[in-house]
Amino acid sequence: MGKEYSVIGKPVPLIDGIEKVTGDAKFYGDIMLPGMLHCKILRSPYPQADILSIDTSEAEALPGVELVLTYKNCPIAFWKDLHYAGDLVASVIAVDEGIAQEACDLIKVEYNPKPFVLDIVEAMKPDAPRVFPDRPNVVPGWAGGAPWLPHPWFYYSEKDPVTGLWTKREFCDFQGFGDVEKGFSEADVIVEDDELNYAYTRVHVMEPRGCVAWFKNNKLTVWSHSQGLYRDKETIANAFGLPSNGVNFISPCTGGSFGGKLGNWVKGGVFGGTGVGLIPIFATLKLHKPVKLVLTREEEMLCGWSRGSWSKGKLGFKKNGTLTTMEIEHWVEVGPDRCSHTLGTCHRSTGCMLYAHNCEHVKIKAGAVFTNRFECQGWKGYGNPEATFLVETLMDEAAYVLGMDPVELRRKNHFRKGDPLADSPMYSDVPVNAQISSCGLEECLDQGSKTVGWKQKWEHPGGKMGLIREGLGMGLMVHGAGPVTGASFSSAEVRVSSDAHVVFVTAAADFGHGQHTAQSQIVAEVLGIPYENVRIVCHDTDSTPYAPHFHGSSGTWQQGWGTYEAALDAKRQLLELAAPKLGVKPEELDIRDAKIYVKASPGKCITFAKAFLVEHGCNMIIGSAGTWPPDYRYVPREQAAQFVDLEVDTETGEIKVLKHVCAHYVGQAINPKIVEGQLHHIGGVEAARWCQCIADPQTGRLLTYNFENYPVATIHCRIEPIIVESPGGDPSHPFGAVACGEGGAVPTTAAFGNAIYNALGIRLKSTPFTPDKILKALGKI
Amino acid sequence: MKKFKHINARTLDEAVSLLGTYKRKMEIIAGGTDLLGVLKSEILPTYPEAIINIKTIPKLDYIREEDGALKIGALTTLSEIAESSLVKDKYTALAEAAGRVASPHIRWMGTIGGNICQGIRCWYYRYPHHLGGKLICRRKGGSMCYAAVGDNRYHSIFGAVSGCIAVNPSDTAPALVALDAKVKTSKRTINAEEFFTVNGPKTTVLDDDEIVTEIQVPVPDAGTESAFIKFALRESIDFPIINCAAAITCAGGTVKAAKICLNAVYNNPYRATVAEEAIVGKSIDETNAEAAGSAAISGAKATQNNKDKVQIAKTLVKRVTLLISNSF
Repeated sequence: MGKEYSVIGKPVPLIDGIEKVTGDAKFYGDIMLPGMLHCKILRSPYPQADILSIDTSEAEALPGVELVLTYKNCPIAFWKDLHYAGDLVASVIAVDEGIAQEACDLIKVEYNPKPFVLDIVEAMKPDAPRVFPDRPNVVPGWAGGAPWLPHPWFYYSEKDPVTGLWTKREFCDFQGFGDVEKGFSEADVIVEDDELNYAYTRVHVMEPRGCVAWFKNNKLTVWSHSQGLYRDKETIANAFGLPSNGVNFISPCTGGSFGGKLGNWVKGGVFGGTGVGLIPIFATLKLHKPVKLVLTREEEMLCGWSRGSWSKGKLGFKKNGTLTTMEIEHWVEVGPDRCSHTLGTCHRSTGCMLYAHNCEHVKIKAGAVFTNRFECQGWKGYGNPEATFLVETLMDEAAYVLGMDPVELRRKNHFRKGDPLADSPMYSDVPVNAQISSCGLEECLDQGSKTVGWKQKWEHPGGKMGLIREGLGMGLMVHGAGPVTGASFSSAEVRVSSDAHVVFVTAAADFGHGQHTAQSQIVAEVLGIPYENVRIVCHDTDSTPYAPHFHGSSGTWQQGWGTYEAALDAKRQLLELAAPKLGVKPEELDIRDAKIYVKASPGKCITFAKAFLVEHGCNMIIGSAGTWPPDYRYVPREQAAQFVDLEVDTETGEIKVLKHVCAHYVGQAINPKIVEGQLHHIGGVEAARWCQCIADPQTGRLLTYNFENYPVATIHCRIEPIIVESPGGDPSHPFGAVACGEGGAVPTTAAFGNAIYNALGIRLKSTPFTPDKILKALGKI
Repeated sequence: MKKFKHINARTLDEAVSLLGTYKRKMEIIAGGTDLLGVLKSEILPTYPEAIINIKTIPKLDYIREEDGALKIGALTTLSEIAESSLVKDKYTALAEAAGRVASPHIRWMGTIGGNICQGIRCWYYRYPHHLGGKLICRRKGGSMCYAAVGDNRYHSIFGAVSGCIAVNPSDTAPALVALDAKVKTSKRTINAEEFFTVNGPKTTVLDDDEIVTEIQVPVPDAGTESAFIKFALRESIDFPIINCAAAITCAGGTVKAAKICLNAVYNNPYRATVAEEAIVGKSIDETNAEAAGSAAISGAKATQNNKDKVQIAKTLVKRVTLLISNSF
């Protein structure tokens, strides 16, 4: 669909695919350096405690031990107060892991265990034990900057009656617009639900967090995974008071991240709340020897939690199904994560964005809640799956009350191109009058419902009998992606040789999502050369030009302009060289199949080598750019509809998925194979079916500490991806791409819950939808 | 993981004598799929000084029928058993059970000997030491069963043994009990049911210096069919929430003999004798199968967290019975 491209939109193989499948690719774990030391961590046995005393003398005396770190000598990574079972108490740096672990067992610690709270609802009660003595467990509002302070919310007080765009945004004690009291009083049908609970779940990555750090010759070098090399380098430099050019951040391959390795800033500071970056860096600054830390799988399971939510909502409709009013209360569990951006993972405004077309009145109250349950980090979905679970469950209930087909109800209300960006307070640097740049929801609904056989199979619930009952459900979603002014500056260097081969240099991280391939396709397309002629170099911050830290599923979008402009710069130079040789002006030329040709008579062409001859005097052109996206007013959003057809076994409570369709709007797929890969998103499936954080109620210990107890989805969870594009793609990207990735996890739990309702006539309000909950709902136990 | 000696045993006698030498400070390794987790997570109060590898003992890997019994060497892998046409045809429950263990990789590594000797999966018992310290529970000589007062959704529905409510997680064990198998060791031959009937913190009655060498399954009587079914969250890859095996002999449409065994419901494989009695002398139909299912769970003592297991156990007994009736 859309423009004719030669490389864009083609399923070219991953640029690093062969390296990875042959085991040739290097990860930070492969880094071995002479005299390298290893870290092990001693962790808290209690979910809430103060360290009364700590004696490291025996550990330090063990042969092979070089350094023991605690809150006393390394206050940047260790604290005296501990807030989850497994929190960092001390670390031993030794010549091998075995000795380090042995020394950990020799550290004597006296703790003062304190009351703790492991449940979001319990934590919200006024008399609940406090996670942090100096602040309440409940943190209302968006808390981006100074998280422990209640942050003002935005209220749109004025709307242009002609354009329908917002013109004024004010601080308020809730978020929204219009007047919900009025809205509900004028509504024909009101639907409400409460106590919806999305389980605390986690991001898992095949490569555990960790890094290697070496301070030598007054320069710190760090090897680690990354979503943004420059951001990680700056974070390290700031944390340790080093000049920014005193740190070189090297990122070999990254074995998956999904947002979980994005990191936060204060406690735990580098590469996520785990402090894994801080420990080896602190140690090498002291010892001047290379130091490595790799978390075990079980340690990895202690971090990266998020999503636990408790919410309620109320929707007001006209008889014909027009959604006019929305009121939502939404609380998100953030564990003991007092200092990170995860406090902002309440994507509360998702619903009002999704249905911004008709909805006139919105009021949203939301915030974060501390508990003593393990480290929280933002990850794929960033608060949206739980918000969408609420809104899309309510929409399903509304469809039945209104006597409408759930698909038709969505059709009537979803946003359209040009609608105001009602969720923009998430991104307070987005212009107030911003509008959505393109919409593919209609097509997602069409193609998804067709593939699942909605029209033929869907029927109202209630009448189904028999042992095995089939049900169909769906969920719609929008995900806040695209421009954030602080993270959309990108740059690149494109070195074109006379043989039409290119070395493309950028710090744009590829953490498994295919970014290096997609960006290389952009270079090849702009320069009119085969994709195979592009080699990408993305190595470290010393030698590669700046790229933003990718997040919000927006790597293709964030880096797109930098890559595009750099390639265009090279092309311009190339055409200028070629023009005199072809006897025309540069603007009369273009490039195809690595030949520079005259547009008016394509037969008239020369090779790159010919263009380079004589005058140029060298065999390379260097194109470069550092740029912002040209316009922030037209904002893309990731969009999708998911459909689930399942069977429920009423004797065992087991679910069998017959079909799971994910129709995803991407504007223009740069590489459809990569997009498909993104849509095989198992995070939503496992959250719907099996996964949840289980902490022992007595000890606060994590019981879901491996993939046996935390049953992640497997390759058997088949998702049928449908890529939805629009003619010309989205106008905000040089090649029409819209963000793609996170959305795959967003509407899944709602779609599953709605399908179960359709099968049984019973609404399950808490994820995951495990056999015990289904049997209980059926009255079998 | 801590350091230990690794010794390749060349003969059974050598392995047994090494067991005597190291007393309790050793572990036997065959496939290692269970043991490595125990060692890596340092879950036990003591750590072995030596690991004795028995994979190097020749001729413990075979499947053959002789002297009226199927004989399987202890080192035979689960995948070999699952794929054997002999086992599939006549000892169906065992082939099915072996084929439903974990993943292909683990079935390629794991042995039948290891599968019946494996430890429990209780998430308190297996709590990794490096996440704040191992939990010294009742089974490890401590004073309390963490599961009894904690989250016991996957634990016993028939009460505790020696104060521990963990369950036996083996998939092949209930099949062997249903098929009336015997376990041959370095010092004796005992019935499978007896092999698993333990009162202390163990999964088998093996002595410290005793090694499983062979599984013997009698050739089933004429008119006998067997089956195995498993209920787990993610199909086979998970340990069972519950599994169930049965062997039923029918003549003229009437059940002459039945052996039904549930597992992952109790400290040892749980022979559902009441269910067997309920079905013997009757034809297998929906009603009688349902009655057998209900009989199987008589005496169940579910906790607040695992009532679903009772319902699932009941259903599995019913379904395995019906499944067998389809084979006749």
